[in-house]
Amino acid sequence: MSELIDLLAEIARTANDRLSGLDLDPDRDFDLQGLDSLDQVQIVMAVEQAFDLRIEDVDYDQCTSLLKIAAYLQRREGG
Amino acid sequence: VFAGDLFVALSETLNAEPEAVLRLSRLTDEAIDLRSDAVGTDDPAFCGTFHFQRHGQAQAVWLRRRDGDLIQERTSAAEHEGLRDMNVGPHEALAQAVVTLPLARAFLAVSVGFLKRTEPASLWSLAELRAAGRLQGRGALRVTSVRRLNRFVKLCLELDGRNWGDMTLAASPKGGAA
Repeated sequence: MSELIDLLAEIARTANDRLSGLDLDPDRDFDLQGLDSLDQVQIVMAVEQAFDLRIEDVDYDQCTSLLKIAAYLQRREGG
Repeated sequence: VFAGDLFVALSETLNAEPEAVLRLSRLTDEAIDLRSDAVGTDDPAFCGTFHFQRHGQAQAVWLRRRDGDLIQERTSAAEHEGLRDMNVGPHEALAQAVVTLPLARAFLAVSVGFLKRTEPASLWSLAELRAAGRLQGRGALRVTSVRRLNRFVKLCLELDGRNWGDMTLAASPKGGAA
């Protein structure tokens, strides 16, 4: 799990210029770390591109932190 | 299309070179101060950032709205002035930009025209514009929808068949805040 979170943190840093210098706390929701809804969309789109998958809107609503994205990816892989 | 004017004004004022990225956290009709020191997103006057290159160096300015200092007059052209042969399909829009319209503004006009056709129940505002290609000139514009996620649509922008950049627009319901 920790390797996946490290990878997601690296992917998140590529999502936009503002995120490139941020050290995100994987446990905290993005909005509690000063990120806005566009940041979240860009992170999720970057994850989609990196993993070559599509995250639907209903699942997007759960992807509010790196930890939750990792849990979503693991559930998806397991399911 | 205030955001297109803002992108052009920032590019010209700051002698910006690509890649240039305007990111807006909120729209405003108020005058905007440029700050070279980082402004926190918790600052109520914070309204966006502009990242750009100049002489090969990465630069950035933070945008703060001047509370109550409303801009009374705009001098920019009408939305579709400077475009011809605009053709909007279900997945893309094509147009020819002529020299009277800055490219960022032309792309924004074509993008909004495209989204007005494909999602007429929504109002559209610029969330982010990334220009990797030249900022001035004319040519054949192509705007293609790449991804719709949550209330955002990401569009791919091409000039004369080459990637020029991308744009993300945010939808809000008509009758609500734009």
